[in-house]
Parts: sequence; C-alpha cells; structure tokens
Amino acid sequence: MIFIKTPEEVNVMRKANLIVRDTLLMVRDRIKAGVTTAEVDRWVKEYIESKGAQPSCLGYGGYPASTCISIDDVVVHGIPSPKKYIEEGQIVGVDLCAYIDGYHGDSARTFMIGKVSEEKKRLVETAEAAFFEGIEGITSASRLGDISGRIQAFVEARGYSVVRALTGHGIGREMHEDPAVPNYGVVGRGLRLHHGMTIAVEPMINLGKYDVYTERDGWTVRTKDHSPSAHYENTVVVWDDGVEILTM
Amino acid sequence: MQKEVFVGSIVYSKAGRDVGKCYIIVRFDDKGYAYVANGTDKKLAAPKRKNVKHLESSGDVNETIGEKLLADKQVFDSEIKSALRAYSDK
Repeated sequence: MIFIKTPEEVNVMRKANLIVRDTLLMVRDRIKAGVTTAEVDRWVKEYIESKGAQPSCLGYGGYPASTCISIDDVVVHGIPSPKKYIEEGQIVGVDLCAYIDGYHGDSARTFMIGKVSEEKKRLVETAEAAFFEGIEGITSASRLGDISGRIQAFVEARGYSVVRALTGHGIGREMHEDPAVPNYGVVGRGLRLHHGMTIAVEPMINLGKYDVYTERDGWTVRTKDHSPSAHYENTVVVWDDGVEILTM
Repeated sequence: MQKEVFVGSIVYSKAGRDVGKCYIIVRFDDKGYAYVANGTDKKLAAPKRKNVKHLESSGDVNETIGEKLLADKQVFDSEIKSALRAYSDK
C-alpha cells in the first residue's frame, strides 16, 4: 500500500531527512584512507544519536550496523568491519537512514577517496547526474516510469548499466514502503505519482554488466563481474508543481 | 543595511520585471554583477545577469550548492529548483 503524506506529515519528515543530510556531510568531511569502515559506522551512529534520532538500519531485518558501506565492486549493503580499511583510490558508498518523530529519512553518497581513476570518477558523477536527470520535470502528473526510464536511458547512454535486482522505494513511517522505484523502465508507463508521495530515488549503476550477487553474509551485494559500482540516493517528495529533495 | 551575498546565496529580485522572484547566485563577473538561476525559467546554462544592488538577500546560503559551484562541480537545475521551493512559497 502506498501511503500519501499530508504537507504536515512531510514537515515532520523533514527533521529525519535533515539529520541524514547532515550526517552524510559529516562523513564527507572525515572519511579518508586509513580509517576502517567500522569507524565510519561509529561516527554515523554517534552523530545520529546526538541529534536525538535512531539509525534506522541498525537491526533492520537483522542488519548488524547503522550504516551500509560499500567499497568499489560492492553495490550496496556492505557491512562495516574493523578489519576493512578504506584505501586511496577507492570509491566508497555510504548509505544511511535516521528515524525520529515517527518518520524515516534515507540518503546515500559515493565518496571518492583521494585520487581515483578517471573511469571511477566518471561513474560516480554519472550516478549523481542520473538522479537529477530522473527527477527533472517530475510532478504529480508524471508516472513512475518517467523517473525510471530517464535514469536508465541517461546511464546507458554513458555506457554503464543500471542494477535490476535492487530498486528505490517509498519511505515514511516505514523505511521501506511501496512503491518500488526501479532505475529502469519506460517513460510514460507505470504508476501515476501523487501529490505528497515520498520516495527514495537511488540510481545504482555499474561500470560493467548489471548482474549482481549477494554474498554468504546475506547482505553484501557485489557486481558479478567485479566491476566498480556507484550509488546516489535522496528522499524526495512529489508535489503538484515539482519534486522537493528532503535530504539536501 | 545591505546584507552581503555570496555564491550560493538565496536572493530575491527587487528591481526589474522579475521583482519578487527568488534565485540562487551561481557566480559573479569581474564587474560585480551576479548571475542568478532558479532552475526553471532561468536555468544554469543561461543564468540571469543582475546588478547586486537589485538583489535582496534572504539571509540564507545553500552551502551544498555554493560549495559545488565554487569547486566547479556539476550542479543541476532540479537541485536548485528544489532548494528554492521553500523560499518561493513564502
């Protein structure tokens, strides 16, 4: 079921989403080669809790950490570890959620550590640009396929692939609500959007093929061909006259 | 007193045909003119040139967009449009 939010509910949701935004800005300023992914996870947990919120990911479906930290060929859901050091030249996806006042916020960025290769840099920039391409001109009169199809066309025109096995999602009182928001589809097709619909739009794109697999830990999703992958996500609300990004 | 404006400042036009319209400053030129965009009719590819004296600061700066512009990173019209929503509603 899709839960449409009133403007008052969206105002409450802003708080969780701004905490997510600020947490990612904090990570951006601190993340560097030599720190472990467990350290980054600790920063995130402490920061979110210092704002009076809870990290939504912790314990979700048994997930053992507050943050998903996904390096290079890990697409999403990389589990932080004290043994996993971040290295120069890596691209590191940091995906996190916060819960406060009954609502969740969700956002992800892929950070470039030190000097990265041109191909990784372009991949990361394309994931971000694909998000904005997807939401450009979207209103409550648009269809879900307008977002999905435009992301797919944009990404594939640059020679990359969009992951099929994972999608964006509705968000609100639950971290994952309906509808699923794929990064592939046909413009003009699919569910009609609605004034007050809150969704997480999150292009996950690979340098190589779109096939992925889940590791034995049950969480870590990796590209099958081990090509690098980039992720960019924001929670947005659809209004009659456009889209508002809540996590920026 | 005139409030100072920067790249990333959110401003209102106070002179010209666009009086009352809300923009974000995307750059300045050598003569001190500001180039402003709103992501809709004034897009980043063709921002509007305005005399700084004809802009009124909202007092707010969107630091995320400002930092990206100053670092010459790509900024998107939908990003600006979203950032200005709260101000345009006022």
